[in-house]
Amino acid sequence: MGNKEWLNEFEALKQVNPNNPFTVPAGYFDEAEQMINSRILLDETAPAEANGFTVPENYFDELSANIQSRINIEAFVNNPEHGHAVPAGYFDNLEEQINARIFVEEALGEEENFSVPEGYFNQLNKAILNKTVNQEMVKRKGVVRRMFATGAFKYAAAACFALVVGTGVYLRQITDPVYEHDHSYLHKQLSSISVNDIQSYLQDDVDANDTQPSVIDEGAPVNDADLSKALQGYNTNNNE
Amino acid sequence: MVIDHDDSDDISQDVFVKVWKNLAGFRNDAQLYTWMYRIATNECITFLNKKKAKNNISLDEVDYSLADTLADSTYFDGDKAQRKLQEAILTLPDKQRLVFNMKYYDDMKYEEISDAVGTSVGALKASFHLAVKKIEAFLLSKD
Repeated sequence: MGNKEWLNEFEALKQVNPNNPFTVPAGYFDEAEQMINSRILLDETAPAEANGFTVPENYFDELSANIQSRINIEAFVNNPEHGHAVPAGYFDNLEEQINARIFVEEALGEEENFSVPEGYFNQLNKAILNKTVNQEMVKRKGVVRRMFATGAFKYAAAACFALVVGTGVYLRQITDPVYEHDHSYLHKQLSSISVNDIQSYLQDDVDANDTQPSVIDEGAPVNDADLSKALQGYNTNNNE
Repeated sequence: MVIDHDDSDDISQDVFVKVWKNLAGFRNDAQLYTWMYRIATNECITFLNKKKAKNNISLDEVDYSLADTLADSTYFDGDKAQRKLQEAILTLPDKQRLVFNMKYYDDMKYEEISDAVGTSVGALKASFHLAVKKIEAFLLSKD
């Protein structure tokens, strides 16, 4: 302990017990040899240079720039002035919320409540195309139907047309005043009397004061019975 | 140096593994145990630097962390004065703490410490003297 003579200059330190106050667990040194041998064995079988983990080539050359970019991006994202922000304390409760969500979904059942028929998604693309693009193509093509499917339709249409035209002509004829006059009873009866006979009759039997009612009053309906009687008398006199 | 028993256990195993692997390169110009000391001190310093980098704290904060570890340690069997001495040692820089521990607890000569830490004897004496004065002041200032 000759080296401890320096302690005489330091009274406070000299009063402290110079023994090492630190201890080790019981039996530590008994197991130390085995532990160190095991450690050496592990170190030799799995050298530190071949720990199985590698980094891409030039990883550390680009690491500084990558970290700086990441810092810039996160600073931009977390800056509320840029519109990207999360509520205060969001990340504090995030893990708990996710765990709760997982728990709830597991409690509700592993299978999803919503399902689709088997092979639905295999046919989905085709079905969508059929209802959109392909349908428009079909609409554009259209279905051309012939108006005259058979030859008889043409003849029937011609007959109808002829019937309509004939009916029109007929109705026009029978309502024509000339036709109506030609087919009237007076016209038929007077047609058999010559013009000379009519002139002679008018010269002999009719004067200005003749009160004989006219055979035909303008605007009055024709009385065929009176007219026939009057003409009967005329014919009788004329034959005599 | 690292206070926590588990950390000490890991470091001591690493030291023995390195000794085993580099035993063939050991030069006989130094004693074996000083060579092992050198490996051990390097491992301790490397561990503390890693701890600092991992927790992103300074070496001084590492000392505070070590003080907390000391307070909670179940493998500390010293009395009140010894605990206070450990707290005083933890206020030292790593190099001074290393030299003090080797001199105070391991009773090593300056030449042996010089071989272990790769520092000249004169520098070690100055470093040790500063360390002891700080510890003395710490022990006297706080009860």
